[in-house]
Amino acid sequence: MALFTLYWANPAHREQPLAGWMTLHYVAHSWHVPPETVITAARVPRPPDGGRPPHPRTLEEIARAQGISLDQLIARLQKAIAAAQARQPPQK
Amino acid sequence: MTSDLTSDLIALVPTYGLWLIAATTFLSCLALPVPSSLMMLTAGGFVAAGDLGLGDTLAAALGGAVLGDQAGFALGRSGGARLLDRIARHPRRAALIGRTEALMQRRGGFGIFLSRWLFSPLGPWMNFAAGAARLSWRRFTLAGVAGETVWVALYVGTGAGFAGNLTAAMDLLGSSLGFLAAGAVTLGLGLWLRQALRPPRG
Repeated sequence: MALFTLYWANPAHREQPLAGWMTLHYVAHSWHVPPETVITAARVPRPPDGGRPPHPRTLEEIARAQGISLDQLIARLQKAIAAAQARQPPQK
Repeated sequence: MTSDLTSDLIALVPTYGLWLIAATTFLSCLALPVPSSLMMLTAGGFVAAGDLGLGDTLAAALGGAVLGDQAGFALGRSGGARLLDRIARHPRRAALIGRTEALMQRRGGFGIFLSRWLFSPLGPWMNFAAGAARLSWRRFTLAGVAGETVWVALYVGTGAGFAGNLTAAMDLLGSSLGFLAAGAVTLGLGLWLRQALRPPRG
């Protein structure tokens, strides 16, 4: 258990490079930014009734729906995450 | 690094969610080669992110696993027990089979418990064997549910606890369980050796 704690105390082991299988909430969790940051940057319209979509969508699906490449979407998210972290550095 | 196939599989989790988790644990308890550990870790990661509910995910994984165990046990009991009965027509073999069944009654529950999570590759085969050797259904079910609870909680919990880096969680859990299993085997061998080296009594 001590090993686990030591391992995760290093922030480099937490932030996982963005990939097509991730959802927006997963990205926000992994990079310790508010979900709104990522959702806004992805330019995903909120459902009109305020509810959630039937299932959480992956970055791959979002990129396809917007007719852009996954790399383009990832670049956009990375920029937003970097900006958010510059405003408020992640804890620890 | 995660391979392409792995990421394709992971990407199915947010889409198909709980049914996929339940189906995976069900099939893995019947010895079908499905990546149930990976699926549970991934589900844990999505639980932490808020995409899946913790209670729902645990229930789906546990439900699938327990149903899978029951199916394996029933198969062992119907097919395996009949096969054993035929073999047992010979008196000497009958004695051996009788001893196996007695051992299963005496120690089977603990074996079932450990083979759910610590020695999980043995799990499905233990289900068939327990059914064939007529381990009581009650003990099989009690030990099985307890063991599967540990298995499910361990993997979903690790996925959820590892702060959004599933790749690292997989590496770490894989190696820790490997160490633990190797340690348990060593301990078991040590105990067996001690037993074997002890001077015979009487």
